[in-house]
This record gives sequence, C-alpha cells and structure tokens, in this order.
Amino acid sequence: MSEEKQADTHKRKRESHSDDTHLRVVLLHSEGYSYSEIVAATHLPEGTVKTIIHRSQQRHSTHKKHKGGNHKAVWGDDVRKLVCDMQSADPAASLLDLQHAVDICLPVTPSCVNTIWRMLQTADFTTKKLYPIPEARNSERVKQERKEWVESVVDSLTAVNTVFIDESPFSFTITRTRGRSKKGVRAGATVPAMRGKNHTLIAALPPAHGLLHWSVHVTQPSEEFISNRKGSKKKKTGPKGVTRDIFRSFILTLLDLPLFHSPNDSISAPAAASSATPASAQQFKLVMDNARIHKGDITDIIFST
Amino acid sequence: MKLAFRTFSHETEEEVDAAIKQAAATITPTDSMHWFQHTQSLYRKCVDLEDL
Repeated sequence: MSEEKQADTHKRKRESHSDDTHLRVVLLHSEGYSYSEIVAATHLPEGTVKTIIHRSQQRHSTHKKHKGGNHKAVWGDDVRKLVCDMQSADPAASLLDLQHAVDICLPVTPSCVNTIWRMLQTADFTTKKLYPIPEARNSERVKQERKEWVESVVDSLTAVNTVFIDESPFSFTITRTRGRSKKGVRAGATVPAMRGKNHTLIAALPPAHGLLHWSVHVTQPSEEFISNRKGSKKKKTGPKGVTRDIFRSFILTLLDLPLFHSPNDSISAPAAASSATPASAQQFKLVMDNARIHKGDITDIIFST
Repeated sequence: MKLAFRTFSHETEEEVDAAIKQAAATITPTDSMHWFQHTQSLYRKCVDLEDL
C-alpha cells in the first residue's frame, strides 16, 4: 500500500477545545452574535460552534464531559471535613458512627466504611489504644476551679521554686498486651502464675533539678482471711497503701534536704533554668493534687517545718 | 533503660529495688523541664475553660 493511501486511511485525530473556548462561544451566542460572527471571532468550524451551543443548552454547563483519566472524587470536601472533625472531637467514634453522622448531617448518600477509613488515613489519623479520661476531670465545676487555681498561681510558679509531689501505684507483674507474630501464628506472652504485690512510688520533682526525692512502698492487700481454715471468709482491713503517716514522713524527709535550707549549695540547675534566680526556702511552692492523704495536718507540717 | 522494670520480670525485692533505681536515674532535669513547659502550655486551656 502506498504512503498516500496510508495517510488517507489513517484515522483523523479528534480535535479538542478547552473549557474557556466553550465558554467564549456560549457567551457570544448569549449576547446575540450569529453563528458566522462567532466562527469569525473564534476560528472554529461552524459545526463545532453549533455543537458547543447545543450541548451547553442541554447540560446547562459549558464544561466538557469528563472522559477517562482519574476518577473525580465522589465525596466532596464537606464529607471529608465532617468525618475528620467528628473523629477529632471523639476519638472513640467508630467508622459506623461516622457513616451515620454523614447520613444525618449532610444531604448525600453516606459513603461506605472503607471510604471513610481511607479519608481518615489520608488525614493522618491512626488507630491507637484509648486512654481513659475521668468524667469529673472536665465537668463545669472542675473546669471553673481549675481556671481559678491557674489564675491565682500561674505567675508565681517557676521552674526553680516549684516542687511537684505525687504518688502512683505500679505493678511489676504486668505484661505487654500487644506483640507481633507471623500470620496464622498466635502471639503469646508468658505471665507470672501469682500476682505480685503492688508498689507505690512517691516522688518530689522540681523541674529545675529533676527527680529530687522518692520512696517506694509495698502496697498491702486491704483484705485478710478471718481464719486459717480453707474457704475462710475475708474481711476488710484498714488502708495499707500510702497512708497519711507515710506521706507525712515523706514530706518531713523531703523538707530536710539541703535544697530547702541552703539554696546556694543546692544541686546545680540545668541550662534551661540556670539564668533564673535561686529560690529561698520560703519561696518554694509544693504542688500536689487533692488526694485525701495530702490534707489534714500535712499543710501545718509543711509550714511549721 | 527507662522501662526495664516492665520488660523484665523480677523475682526478689532487691531486683525490684534495683530496677526502680535504674528507672529513677533516667529521669533527668531536662526531662523535667520539658514536662514543666508542657504543663505551662496547658494553663491557657484552663483559663479558657477547655477540656483537658
């Protein structure tokens, strides 16, 4: 076959015009220009001009029909934003909860849970272990009290003169709850047969000096058997964790430390706080929570010491 | 290792004490300052009555 014949039989490439050209044609037509005038202005074939005008009247749009390529996003930014906002507001919300929220809040058919999961992945959400937040922590009363406390002390608390004191129980027999193993193989962890005793750690921590003083107490069970007979009933005993007596002795030991008597001989402060003026013994502020063992005569002991 | 006391099981009280001492030594003034600054950053939320 000759080259000339090949060129004739070759399929002519379909010419495409931009959305701007379509818009220009439609605007000219709406302003009352004739087809020949539009052809002269745009240098398009008359058939093309007629087709553009006809299609714009049919579709009420001057944009070209989407052909091939990447699919457009089915779910708009409003759905994506709602899903992300809902998940930020409530980390415990499940994918089904979010799907239900989209169904209620927006006039669209809700997407499937896989799509919602993908939206969250794209927005950098990851699955984590939830940590419990006590309900009372954010009650209106507590928030108001917290505000008043901050407003009263925030200016006087510095890294040099503040000492945080708290106690926390620890178990030395806890095991990890998450691990890895190959697919199809169970992931097990060896656990101790007997539960060990809990330990309670009391610590005093001035930010400028690090861990200043700490002590450990073995927590005794608050129940004991009435008799040695097998199957004997248990009775409640007094508190055997950190009691006020233990806390009082901790405070007395703490206040005997050189830091509270001769600030110039105290432990060297880190670079972040070295520029601050050392606090005198009277200027230290002990910050602790509202646990019952921190009340009573503890305040009197601190001031008398 | 800060969490050594959680990684290994301890048979005796002496081992427990040693593990606690080891963990206590890892708490540096720099760590304390970091958390103090974090606490200070929460004061604004408290004044604005936000949830913590």
